[in-house]
Amino acid sequence: MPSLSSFGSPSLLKTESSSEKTKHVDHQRGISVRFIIKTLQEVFQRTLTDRGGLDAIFGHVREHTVQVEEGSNFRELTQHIIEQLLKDHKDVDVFIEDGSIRPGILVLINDTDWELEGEDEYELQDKDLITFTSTLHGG
Amino acid sequence: MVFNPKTACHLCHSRKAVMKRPKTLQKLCKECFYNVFETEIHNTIISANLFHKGERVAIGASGGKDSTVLAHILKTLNERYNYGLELVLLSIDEGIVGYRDDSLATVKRNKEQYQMPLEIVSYKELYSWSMDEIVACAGIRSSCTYCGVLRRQALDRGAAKLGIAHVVTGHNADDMAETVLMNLLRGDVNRLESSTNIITQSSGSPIKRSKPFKYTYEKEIVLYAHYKKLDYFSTECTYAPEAFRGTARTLLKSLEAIKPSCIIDIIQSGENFKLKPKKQRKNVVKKNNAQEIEVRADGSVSLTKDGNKCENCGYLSTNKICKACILLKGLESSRAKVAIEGGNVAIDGAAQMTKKLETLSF
Repeated sequence: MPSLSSFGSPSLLKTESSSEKTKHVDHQRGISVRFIIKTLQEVFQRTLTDRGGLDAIFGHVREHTVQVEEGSNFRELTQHIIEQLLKDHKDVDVFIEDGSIRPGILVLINDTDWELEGEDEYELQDKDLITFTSTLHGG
Repeated sequence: MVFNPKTACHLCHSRKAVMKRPKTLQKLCKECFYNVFETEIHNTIISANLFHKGERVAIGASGGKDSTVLAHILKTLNERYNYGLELVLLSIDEGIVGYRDDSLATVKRNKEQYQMPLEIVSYKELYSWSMDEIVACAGIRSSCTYCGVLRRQALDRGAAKLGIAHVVTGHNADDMAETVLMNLLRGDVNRLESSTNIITQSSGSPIKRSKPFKYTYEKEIVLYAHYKKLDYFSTECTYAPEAFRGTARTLLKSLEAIKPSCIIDIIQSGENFKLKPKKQRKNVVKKNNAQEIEVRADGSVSLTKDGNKCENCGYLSTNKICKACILLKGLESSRAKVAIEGGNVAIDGAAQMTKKLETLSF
């Protein structure tokens, strides 16, 4: 499991998701990135068996909007997601392997294959839409 | 938009590339991707001689991405290349509350979207057991074993009911490579040899099965469904997946990340894997003994001639009693036990509960 501290400082990042009552958005410095989790059933299953699946925002809210620092790259977004949205760090390796998105999870940045956009090095733009689709199970 | 040769499609050199093909590493735009994707499947169908004109074909439809794309593609190609096929959707209702009822709703919408007749066969009506009941009885661990055996038979019976002799399924290249890998890891050489066949048919069975997506990468299927905005159901079965298959899948995906062509390479290895002819066992062949019977280690009785019928249900089987009947018989005895113990097991609940928990929030 990758160490979380290997990523940038998380305190600069704020999350706004539809299940949170208090929203904190820094409009002056941040850009907003929306992402959709299409199928990450493993996260559902694991949280259900381990903890009743009640506090994992990840499993229940499929669409999130995140505020990140201008100039942040994709790796920092990934880190933000696992820091802020996966409350149990045991779930990290469902999503991340060796510091990057786990093989088998298809990533689209504004509907374009992230392999064409520089993957982890991609510099996030305001109003970007990221889609994660797991192909690890089912048909 | 300013033309940028770095981001241009490798085929048309004009539009912006949106995806990278795992098979060839080509960067393609949407239009060229659709074209290449559809044409490759057409070529697979033609070179394997999958269909004949006027054939009635049942599409095994689960509502998931693979079978939804399959229905869409077959309809498109059938019209474009004039295959002359009559296509029917065939769905199996395993009886998993909260999962299958939702995915069947998708299939019902597909029926309207693609203007195809739909036939639904349920485990409950075929075997008088739903998957929820089976899991309540036999436990969650063996769910895939039961479901797999029962589904195979259910598809055949559904097709027979429709008078159709050909079922196509959405198995893709990743599934096939995964199966090759699994058989290899298990040393199951007999299955290894046949696991890459595009058409399979049990001896004596009137129903053949085929996999038009044999060479189609899962990534491309997902992208096709996504870009074409096809209506598919994206939640997985609520019961635990077969553990070993999951391991093989993870391994395959890690290999693919390093070398995307490995999936097609594994299939090619599987295709060229031929067993040397089996040695004839000596005292087995006795000329006067027409009915050779072998009792296997698991207690099943084999008959030498193929195309026999199960004594219990009349379904085609190489054994005296078919595998589904053996499994169900085992279940019946434990259902009795459950009844005696008086446990009013939450039978319809297991998957439904999961669903409810998913939507709970504070």
